[in-house]
Amino acid sequence: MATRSVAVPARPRGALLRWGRLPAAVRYALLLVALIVIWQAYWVIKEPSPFLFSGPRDVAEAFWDGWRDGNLASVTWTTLKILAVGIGIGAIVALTLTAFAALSQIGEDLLTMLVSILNPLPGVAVLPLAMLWFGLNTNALLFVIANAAAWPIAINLNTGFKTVNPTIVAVGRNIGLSSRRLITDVLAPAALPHAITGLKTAWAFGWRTIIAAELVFGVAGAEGGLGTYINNAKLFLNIPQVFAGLVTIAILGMAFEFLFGVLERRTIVRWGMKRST
Amino acid sequence: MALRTNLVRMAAAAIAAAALAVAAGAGGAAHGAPTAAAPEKLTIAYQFGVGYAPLMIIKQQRLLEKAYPGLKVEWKQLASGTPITDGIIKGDIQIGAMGTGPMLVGWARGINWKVIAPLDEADLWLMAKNPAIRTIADLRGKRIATPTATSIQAVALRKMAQAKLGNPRALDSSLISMDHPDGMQALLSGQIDAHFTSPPYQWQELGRGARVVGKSYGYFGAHTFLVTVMTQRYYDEYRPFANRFYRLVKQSIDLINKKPKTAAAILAREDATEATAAQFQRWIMRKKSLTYTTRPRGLMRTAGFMNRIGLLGKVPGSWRELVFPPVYPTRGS
Amino acid sequence: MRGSTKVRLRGATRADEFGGPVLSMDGVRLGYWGSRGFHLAVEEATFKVAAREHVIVIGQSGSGKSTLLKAVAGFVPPAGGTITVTGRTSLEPGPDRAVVFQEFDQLFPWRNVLENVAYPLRVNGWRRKDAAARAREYIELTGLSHAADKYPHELSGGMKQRVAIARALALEPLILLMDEPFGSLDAITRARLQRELRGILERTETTLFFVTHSIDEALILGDRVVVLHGVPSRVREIVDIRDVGPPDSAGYTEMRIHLRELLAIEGHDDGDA
Repeated sequence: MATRSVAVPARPRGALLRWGRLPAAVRYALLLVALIVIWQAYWVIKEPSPFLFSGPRDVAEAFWDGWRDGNLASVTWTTLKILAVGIGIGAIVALTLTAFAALSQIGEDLLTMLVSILNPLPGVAVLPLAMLWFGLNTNALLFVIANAAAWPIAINLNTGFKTVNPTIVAVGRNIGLSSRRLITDVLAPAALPHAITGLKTAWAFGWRTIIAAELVFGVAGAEGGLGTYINNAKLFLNIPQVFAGLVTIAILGMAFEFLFGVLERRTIVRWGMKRST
Repeated sequence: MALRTNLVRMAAAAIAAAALAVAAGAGGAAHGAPTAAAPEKLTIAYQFGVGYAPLMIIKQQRLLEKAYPGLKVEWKQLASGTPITDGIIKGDIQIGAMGTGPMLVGWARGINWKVIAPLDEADLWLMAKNPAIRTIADLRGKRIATPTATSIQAVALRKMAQAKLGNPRALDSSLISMDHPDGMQALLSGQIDAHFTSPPYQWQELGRGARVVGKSYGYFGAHTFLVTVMTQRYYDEYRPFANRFYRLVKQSIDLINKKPKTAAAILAREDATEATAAQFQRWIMRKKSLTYTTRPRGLMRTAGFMNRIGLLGKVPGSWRELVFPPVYPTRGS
Repeated sequence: MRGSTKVRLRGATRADEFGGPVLSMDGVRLGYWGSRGFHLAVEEATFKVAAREHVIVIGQSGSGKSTLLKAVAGFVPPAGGTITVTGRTSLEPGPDRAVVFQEFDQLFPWRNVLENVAYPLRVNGWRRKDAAARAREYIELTGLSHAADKYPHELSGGMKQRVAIARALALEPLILLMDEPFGSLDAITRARLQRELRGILERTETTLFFVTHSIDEALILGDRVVVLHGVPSRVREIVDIRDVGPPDSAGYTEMRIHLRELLAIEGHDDGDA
């Protein structure tokens, strides 16, 4: 029996340091530890002014204190609530306009025009106007967030609807779907990759906008969110608390990226529909 | 032998005293090493309001330049104490004028600054326009604007809440930070329900239909409103200059108090103001609610209250810890 | 109930109840609006398809044969003449004329194989359990039982087309419409599916309307061949091929040549047309 030579698989990347062989969680943990060490080294060696910078230990303490007395939890919750409702409103506006655009030429024209006028406006730029229209309350913030979220969702959803494979639409009609069910059972899932992209973009814009808007908005009391928390900490010259707020934002950002990843894995990755972004 | 010993002792003492005098003199001269007794450049920052009048007089009369020819003075008028604090931390601003609230917060946090010259005492009023709001209790759940969260007004509001409602945080739910001009406009247009402000805004709001809901003097007694601060390091480096600055403030205050008409005419020359000399004169003469003085009052009481409600990390042992030596003789509190 | 026994088919039974041809094309004219005005694709098409009959419409590319199928499916309204399916003439798209398209991506990517076959049944009123059971029957019939849980993106081209066939047949249509379903497959898979389809059609007593440009495919699958020819196209001839012998027989070869002539194909016999 002749021997067959078996092709040797290529060396995994980073095999020289055996870095690539470690599991992902360990790699990231090690990198994080390294960053913290560098941070601490900078703090100890360079000794920057405590009014401009903080060391990891102080930040960790402020972070822990903030969660323990519930402050960080409540301001984070306030910010997330406004963000969720704002994005929800934006999504509804986007869905309505996109459905209208899918069904008629004038709808399409309206959507294109609104997008080109309103999408370039940074959320925070709209805030002073929103404060005049809606008063000095949460509605102004909701308006700003809705504006930041609606257009990315609308653009992506519209593209999603326009690029649905016509064959499966034909299949949908062939098996007897009504127009309504065609939209919900065929167009909507077919446009899901685009919808998710739109949602991720809306989330990113909304997040940045709400933190910045809270700073402009200047609410000082119990209604404040994470942006207000950070601003207040700075006012009271509690720099470790400022950093703790920023760390919270970073952690939340990572958490949501993880959640989006889970959503994608359960849906568009499972169905082989994920486009490389 | 005893007389010779005494003579020797006296001679030694005289030589020692002379040496000390020389050393002190030389030390004094060598103290700011190349810069002698005055800086070459100075950035001094203040905010909006007639409470800053002593500084405006110094500015308009160019008193600093006259006292120190060759000194370049840059005056900055900023919207709140926050950029002033930042500027002092970074070293861009050497003398800053602010309320006692931000001054105490900075001191407690370790900025190592102190008051070089208080400017005035003022009764700060909480104004409301809505006829339905008559007392503190009516303010529950209503939108109240104060200057920044560290301002003395924000502190006074907590004291009022504690006194009248039992809980210093009772009115916290809709506190907004606005600077005085924005706050006045928001109150008069109905966007906010109450505005805790300062002279002259509170008087202007009174004139336009708002009413007084509370006064800070009623809760803290007569107290200092605005002060000027500098860092300890700056004071040590330019002590004679700092002392001279204190005296210039006092001199301006005297002018205001003794010759209000002259003072008002000088104040009216400020670019940023649209007020006339006549208006200024009316304002600086409302002595019941605005008194210009370099004597600090109520600092300890304010600091104690702030500490009790968690706005201040530590309290000074005495008022002297908060001010520089020129202020000591005023016998403040 | 499994394997080689006949699966109960209501499509043909319903057609029997009606009596008469399942599909009747009478002077059908078809065209579409292009950039240069109305373009006539089919000038006149007249033929009938009886119950259980396998009719292959054959023509060169661009001869309007796909348009003809789409008209029967209800996607394109006729510009003239009538299309009658068991007596009904105004035709909206519907499951009684289930279609198998040429493209592989005619399956819903977000549903697995079982779901792709069962969902159209539920749309038409079947209960979930019954739909799943019926779906499994047809999945087994098309040899896909081992892949019932897979998603379309995990399937090969041939398997995807099998799913499409299962889905169409599960609806037990009056007539099964197939638009060059094997055109994108490699020759080996295509040959295998053609054989399998013939067996399935027999077992299910399906009435077939099949469009292709391949003469060999027509000869393998068809009872009668409708030859479309011309621009715009007309039915040139309808040939009965039921008694043509196996592929290596003289009768087969003659029929092949005949059909090639009808299609007016020039040049060598390259085995494909």
